[in-house]
Amino acid sequence: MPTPDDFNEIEAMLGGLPVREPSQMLDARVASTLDKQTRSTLPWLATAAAVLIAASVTLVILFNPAPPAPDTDTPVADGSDTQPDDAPGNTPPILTVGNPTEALNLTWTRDIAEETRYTPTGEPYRAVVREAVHHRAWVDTKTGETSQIHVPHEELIVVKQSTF
Amino acid sequence: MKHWLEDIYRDHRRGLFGLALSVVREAAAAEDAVHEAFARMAKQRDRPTGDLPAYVYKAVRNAAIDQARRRQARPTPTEDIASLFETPREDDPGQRAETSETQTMLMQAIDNLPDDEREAVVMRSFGGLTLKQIAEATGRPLTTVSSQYQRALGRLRQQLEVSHANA
Repeated sequence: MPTPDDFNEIEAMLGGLPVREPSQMLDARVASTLDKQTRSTLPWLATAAAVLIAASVTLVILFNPAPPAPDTDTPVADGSDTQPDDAPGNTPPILTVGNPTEALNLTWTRDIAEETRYTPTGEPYRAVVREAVHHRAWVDTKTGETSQIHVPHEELIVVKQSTF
Repeated sequence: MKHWLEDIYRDHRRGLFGLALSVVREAAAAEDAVHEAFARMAKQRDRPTGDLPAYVYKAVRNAAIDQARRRQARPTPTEDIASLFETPREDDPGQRAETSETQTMLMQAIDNLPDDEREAVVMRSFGGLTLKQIAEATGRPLTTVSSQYQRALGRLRQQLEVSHANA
């Protein structure tokens, strides 16, 4: 009848055996699969973050107390874009904002180099994650108030190892 | 951003490959099984709850069983069955010296264990899983896994004694 000590001895011997390693090809295949999946998730996250920020900025703008509108029968402006508000009584009810297609300003960026990885064909490459923050500000010409958003952005850049 | 599976693969690649190899007994098919399991898990949007290593070992084991079923139509000749261990190279005396005679006997004894006992030994000794995690990964009761593991150790010890007596 084997004793616990006998089993401990066998277990210790098992720990010292030269267990077969998977090939580097498998490492590369798994890394490539996980990378692909992470990349397909990142744009979705960035979009979600941008939409959330944009939504909260909109709420702040909407709930900002607007200056009291003078009594008038003049129809209100549609607020489609910034416009001079010289005409008396022509007060837009909603703060107007700039052209939404205008580019955001890049205000901060950081590159993080990850470890060397391998393509399924065994070629080495470096993955660089570039984090950035874009900024956009609008000024309400009537009240002088400034509204601004910061949009975080992240992208994955793959660089061939031989280019280093 | 890192995928949660990356750390598990890095820490358990040998154990996972060993488990797959233990099921399919052919290196290329074992690698296919590991990759297939990771590809399936990576597609899942939500990270699973519970014991992650046990979950991943279960996925790899299932993929290896699928591979083995697909390969049943063309059975592997006995001489082509892959060992779970590195074979010392004939032209490398240093490596040969490192692998003692006792180790060689033990490796052969593990390769010859019944499938369920070999799986338990691989997951426990080479993957570092607890008996509870092995039970979760294999879907067997903890008491069964515990008996299988003890039985396997007993068999290995017995085999070593016989080999030493014959030497």
